[in-house]
Parts: sequence; structure tokens; C-alpha cells
Amino acid sequence: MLDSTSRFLLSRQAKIFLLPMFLSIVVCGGDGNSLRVFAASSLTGAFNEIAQAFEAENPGVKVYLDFGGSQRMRSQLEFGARADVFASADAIQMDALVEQGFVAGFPVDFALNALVVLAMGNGPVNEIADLARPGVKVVLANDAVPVGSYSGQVLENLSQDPIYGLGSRFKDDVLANRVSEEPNVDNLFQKVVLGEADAGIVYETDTVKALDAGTMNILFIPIPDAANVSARYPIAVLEEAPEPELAQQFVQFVLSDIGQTLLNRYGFSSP
Amino acid sequence: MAALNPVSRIRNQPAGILGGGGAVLYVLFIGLPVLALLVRAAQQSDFLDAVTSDAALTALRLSLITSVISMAVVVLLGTPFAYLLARSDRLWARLMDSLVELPLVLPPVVAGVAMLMAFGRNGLIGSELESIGLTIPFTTTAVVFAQIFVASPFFIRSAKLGFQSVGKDYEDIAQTLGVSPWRTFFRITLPLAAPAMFTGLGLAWARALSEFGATMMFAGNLTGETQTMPLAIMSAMEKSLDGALALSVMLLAGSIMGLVLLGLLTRRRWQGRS
Repeated sequence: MLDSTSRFLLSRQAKIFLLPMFLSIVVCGGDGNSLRVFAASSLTGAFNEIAQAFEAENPGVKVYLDFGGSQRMRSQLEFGARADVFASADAIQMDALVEQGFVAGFPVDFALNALVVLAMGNGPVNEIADLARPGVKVVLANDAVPVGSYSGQVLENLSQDPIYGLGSRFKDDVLANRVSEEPNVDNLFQKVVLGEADAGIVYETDTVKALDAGTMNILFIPIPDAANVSARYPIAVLEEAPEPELAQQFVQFVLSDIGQTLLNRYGFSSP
Repeated sequence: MAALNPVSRIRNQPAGILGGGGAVLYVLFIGLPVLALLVRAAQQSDFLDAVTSDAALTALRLSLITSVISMAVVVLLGTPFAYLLARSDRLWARLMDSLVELPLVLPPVVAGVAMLMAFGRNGLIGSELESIGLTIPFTTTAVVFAQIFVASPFFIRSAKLGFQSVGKDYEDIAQTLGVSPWRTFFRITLPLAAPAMFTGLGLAWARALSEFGATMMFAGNLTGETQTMPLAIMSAMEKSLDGALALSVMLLAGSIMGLVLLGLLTRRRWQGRS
């Protein structure tokens, strides 16, 4: 069941990786009724609804969703966690799995996202240039996290083109203002909402999440389209899926009109 | 009456079989993962590079410095507190006992959230501190705070038990002989309670070094300022297993060396004193 690699215990950190793994082994019994989906944390709202809709269309089926930073989900899969479907926030994590033979067939892009600057209301950040001002506290994600690497690209784009008027040192200045590197976009979001950080770079879909939750006292600052990234989210059935047919049906469901409509409702665009 | 032949001797001592069996299982359960970690790390070609990399050394230095500061605070403030708890029978002392135990049962992440609620920018007293320019979250100070919060119970409990076991009798005798209370404490009580205190310090220090959840939540994760070894291991893990292995071995080695050192100090100084 578990190969020797996955027996590595690295003290407390192991719990983060091993718990979903144990759960997936216990729960995912291959009885034709349950599906385990690993998905990027930015997909939380959308996939919860998609799972419900899928269960409604397929009575007797139960979909179990695991959300987290895509890089963490990838690590768990590499360590032997059992899942049927993986939906990642970027191609890097998915490609790594493809290379190692964890994916059955080919991944398909199912959603598009972009970035936006999230700032504390009534705080020091009211426009993009403020991110580089000395003394401002910015939270970003680790560049191994999809939103982290996307943020890096956006900052780079903003620094390169003089049309934005931010100067070539913009990215360096913003990075110098970084007070923490969070492991996923939700943690990042919370730090700004709690008022601990002045600003961070999150997904556009987080604006929908914030509106739905009625989160007050925050400000979303749009990033110029030309400097923004188009985050392509791939989805794939996994090689070791206990329920490959059901998994394929789920992927088709996500790609279908119903799935795409639900995704659009949460702020994602269709590819 | 134990029989002479080894088989009946073992059969007649159930504790021996069960104890022995338990010992073997335990050694395997704890030892195998540690061994596997060391073996896999040793197989890496760039192990030495990873171990001496900037990120690794920075994280190690931060872990060591913060844990030493935390322990200093815990010992300096915790010793008199533990003594007070040991000598007092009043209700407030019993309530204090529960408070001291609280960080032990509180999940570390919850501790981190709680500290944010208290010392964060919009926190209960954090907002006051903020107005006089003192920010705690996302600083090395926050790392020390987190470590003290989670590790102090280990020291205080142990020190308290140590003081309790010394008992008031020695102190009373000394005072009837005219020794001042301070001198009594330092020359009699403290040395007798020292073994328990050293044990508590060892546990507390190990706990502080391994602290992760509260640090992540309250202090954040930034190289050089708040990225302690456990946080560095987590970050490395998300990029590649190899880097994480090297860091894990470093932390393991550091912890073992520290505990061995502490153990030697305890035994050498206090051996022979009853």
C-alpha cells in the first residue's frame, strides 16, 4: 500500500502530509461510490458546489474534497496519497506529476484565473505603487506555491514596462516589504483580513469569496490586464485512482456547461 | 521462586516478556523512521551542499538564538514562579496550575491564533502597543513569544515538582540555624531541585526548537527573521524532498547533541548528591 518513501516521518510536519493520506486510504475503498478529489485551495467554493451538483446527478456517489496549496497536494500524491482527481492552480505542479507517471492520460485546462491586489481598508495601500513604499507590510506566498510564482511574474511585468510608471526596482522594493511567505492563498488572505498585513496579492476569485462572506474593510486593487497573468488550472484523472471511471465522469462534469457555469459564478473564466 | 532454567524464568516473569516485547516494538517504531531519514539523507549526492547552504544555516542560527532566548526567559521567570506554586496551598495556586497546563493541551495553531488576537495589530493589547510603535507579529520577537508560550509548561511543571520534592524541612532547618532565606534557596533548595529543573529545561528546549504551528500563524515565515528550522523544512518540502531531508537531519543532530549535553551536565554535577 504505502511505499517506503511515504514512511518518512518528519516530526510535526508529517501530520500535514500524512493525515489526508490516511484518510484517503481509509475512505477511498474503491467500492464504486466514493470519489476523492485533491484541489487547489482557490477552488474551494466552486468545487464544493460542483461536488454537490455531481452527487445530485449521481445518487449514491459521495465526493470527498481535499483543498490545499497545489504544491502541497502534489507532494502528498508523490508520497503515496490516494486520490482519483487532481485539480491544480498551475501547470507546474501538474506537469511534475505527469513526468513521474502519476497522471492517467492528459491534463485538461478547465478554468482561468488572474491576480488582484488585496489591501486592508483604510490602510497605507490604495494603489499598486503603494506596495513598494517603505514600511508597508506585504504578505506573499512562497514561490513554490502557484499564487506565489504568479505574483512574482506580475511584479516582474510591472517592473519591466515603463508604461506602468513603477520603475525597474518595483519588484525588489515590494519583495523587501514582504513580512511573511504563506503556504497557500487562504492563509495570505486571512492575514490581510485580520489586519496583520497591509496588503497581499491574491486571486481574482478571492474577490467573489470576500463578497459572499461579507468581509468588510478590505480593498481590491486591480492589476492592469497586460501585466496580469492568466492562471490556467489543469485537471486530470490520477493513474492510481481507485475509481477511474467515476473520476473521468467527474472531470467531464467539471468541463461541462454546468461545471463551467458554477466556476464562472465563483469568478473563474472558461479557457 | 524463580526456576533455574532460562525458559521457566522467562515464563514466570510476565513483565519480562511483555516489557521486552514492548521495548522491541517501540525501538522499531521510533527507530525505523529515524534510521530511514538518516539513510536517505546519506544517499543524497548534494547533502553537504544543502546542509551548508545559506537558507539552512540561517534557519539553524535563528532556531538556536530564539530558543536560547526563550529558555533564558522561561528559566528566569519560571523558577520563582514554580517555587511559589510549589510552596503555596492556596486556591489561586491551584488555578495557576491549570493555567500552566493550558499550553500543553492547546493545539499550537490555536495558540498562534490566540496570540494574534491578543498581540496582533488589532489585538486586545496589540493595538495599544501598535500606537506606541511596538509591533510584534512577523518579528523575531513573535518567534520567541510563540516558543515561550508552548514550551514553558514543560519547565514550570518539572521545576515545581522538583521544589515540592525538596520539601520545606531542609529550608526550615537552615533558617533555624540562622541562614537567610535567599542563601537557603540558592545553597540548599535550588541544588536539590536542579535535576528536575534540568529535565524540564531539556524538554522545554526540545519543544521550543520544534515549534511550528504557533510560529507559522503568529510570526509568519520569512527567511532570516522568522523562518526557524521547522518552517524551513516545511518550505523546502514543498519544493523538493532532498532539501527537506538535509534540514531534518540537521535539526535532528542539533537536538540530540543538545539533549546529550544537557544530560551530561545534569549527571556530572549532581551525581553523588542524594
